[in-house]
Amino acid sequence: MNCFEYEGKSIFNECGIPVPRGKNIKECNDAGNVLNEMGLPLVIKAQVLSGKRGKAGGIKVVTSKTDFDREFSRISSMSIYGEPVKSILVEEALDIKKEMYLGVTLDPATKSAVLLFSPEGGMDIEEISRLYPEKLLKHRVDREMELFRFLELFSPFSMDNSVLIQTGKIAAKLVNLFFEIDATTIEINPLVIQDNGKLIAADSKIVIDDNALFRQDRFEIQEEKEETDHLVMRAKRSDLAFVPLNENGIIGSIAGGAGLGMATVDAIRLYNASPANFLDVGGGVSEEKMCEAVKIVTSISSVRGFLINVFGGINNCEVMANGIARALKEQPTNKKIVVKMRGHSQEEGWAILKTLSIPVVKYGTTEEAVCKLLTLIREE
Amino acid sequence: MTVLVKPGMKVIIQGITGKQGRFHTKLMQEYGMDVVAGVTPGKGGEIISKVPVFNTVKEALSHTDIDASLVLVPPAFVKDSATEAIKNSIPLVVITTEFVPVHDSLKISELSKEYGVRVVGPNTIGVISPGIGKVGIMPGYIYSKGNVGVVSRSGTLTHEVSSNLTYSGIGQSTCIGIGGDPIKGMDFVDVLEMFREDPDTDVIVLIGEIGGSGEESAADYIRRSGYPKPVVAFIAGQTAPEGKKMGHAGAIVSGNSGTAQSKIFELTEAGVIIAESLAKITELVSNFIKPSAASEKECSATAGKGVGC
Repeated sequence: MNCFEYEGKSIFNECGIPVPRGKNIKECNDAGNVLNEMGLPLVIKAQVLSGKRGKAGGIKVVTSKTDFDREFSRISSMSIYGEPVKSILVEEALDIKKEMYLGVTLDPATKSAVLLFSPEGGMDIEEISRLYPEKLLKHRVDREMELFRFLELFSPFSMDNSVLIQTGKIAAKLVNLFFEIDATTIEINPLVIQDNGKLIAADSKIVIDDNALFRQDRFEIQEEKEETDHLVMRAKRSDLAFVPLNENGIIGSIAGGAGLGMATVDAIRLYNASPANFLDVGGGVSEEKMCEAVKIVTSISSVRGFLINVFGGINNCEVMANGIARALKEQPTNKKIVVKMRGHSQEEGWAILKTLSIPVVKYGTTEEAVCKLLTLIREE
Repeated sequence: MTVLVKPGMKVIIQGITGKQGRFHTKLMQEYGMDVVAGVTPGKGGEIISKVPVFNTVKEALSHTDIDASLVLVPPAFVKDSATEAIKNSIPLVVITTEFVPVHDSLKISELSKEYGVRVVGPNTIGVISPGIGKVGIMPGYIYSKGNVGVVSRSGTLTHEVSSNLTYSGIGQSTCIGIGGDPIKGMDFVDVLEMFREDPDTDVIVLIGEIGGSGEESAADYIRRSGYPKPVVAFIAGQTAPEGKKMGHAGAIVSGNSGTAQSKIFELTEAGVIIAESLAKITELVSNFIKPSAASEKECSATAGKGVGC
């Protein structure tokens, strides 16, 4: 789950990482009060989860009341990369001497948390590592690392003493926070050195592990983006991983497992047919869940036929076949269906599908199942 | 010799009293595994499928030797269960659970190194050496005994590829699902090292997918080590759109990192043979299997294969 900038900054503030004075505004009527309270100049920052909002015009420094009013209403009504602006963070404008980068993330290759630091900040980390590879520090970090270890890491960057100590302290706090809130990424970009020599977090990016939200109750689970696609919404409610791929796609697919789901889509493309969607039912599939998955794919109007490609491993073929049967009873369809199914309770599953006259690929490959489906569609 | 799974090994099921625990205890027994104990805190004294249940791993250890644990507990309890197994030095811990917090996986992986314990998963089907045994949740009968080692991030792709091989009369030495999560126990390189030393493995099938850099690390290892056995690889998600999470937490392409193209390029450079489709894997593998060896394999599948196109 991604946090908005204002949420991240409030977390930073709680753990002692300096952030600019500011206020997040959800109602336009409150804007005037904030202007009076805080005085000019101010920064108006659209609160969206998409990156590169500055480039899209979502961040503006204003120096007069007229500018403030104009920019505030302009940014409030913006939609940035398809994401409507729901709130605006108004902050004191900073006197920026230098922008640095500081972050903590997970590194699967070394199976550890790593600290990332660059004295050059303000651009994204990919750009930093491309433009200044020699200035990018990447170092393994653990829980409860002492301050001196951070100072050792930063001292080769020849900062003045005050900046070195401040950077070390902020990094130590950031690493603790990373473990404490089950983050997968935390970034301060830029970490600003102000004209007065004080460091301050001018932006925040925090990503929390979705799988750990059950024990991180401070975070409200929010929709990443307003879902306009009602089938995506529907799938989400049933805990199905559904990704529409092609508006005019004629071949739908339902798979058990993400890897198999992707390989199924790849196989459809291999035969020059256009896949309409990716759908992974996941593990522990109930009859209801499979039923809903089938209903979702039959609801895609461009789909002429679909492949159900599943295994009885953590799932059970009989349960899944019952789900398919129920969906076709409750929401009959004339789209072609091919099922490739094997594994636990396969005989029972196959028997159910036979009564529905659905062709079953028992021993063939995914490609063979795709072929069979395409043949059925062509025969129509 | 086999990889990880040994004849006559003693296995415990952590989470044996749950729905999955009960079901897979039975299937493990049907596959001939010696399930010596179950562990569920608070359920000590119960009997599931003739298997005694204990409150702790330590208690189970006072009654029997244990070679491996199959962990089938809900995500919130995985850290505790896996830590218990590792700290009791159970040599092999297979974590099937999906949706484990990644910081817990990090901790488990650190601990496993400290205690010298092999951890497979989380989010895995486990490991099977067909005809010898399994510590996992895979349907045993779609696998068959032979000389192909299979390693995959995706559980159901392991089923798919192995069963396709089986139905073509090509058996497997050991099939390992390393799991779909970004942080996990054994990775591709660990498994490749084991296959390298395993006299029963002649050819390796490596099944990767988009996201992460495990396949690139595998390519690097194969190149640097002058890997002595042929490796056939397949990468799922070749046509996946950028920026869309495809089910697995790790399966996302962002910018240039984690793309199928980068993985295929690195693997090809390392001398790995790329299969552009699932069906091609069987064809490519069959080139490395001696015809005499292939015909010796037991293959239970007698029914016809699917239809041609």
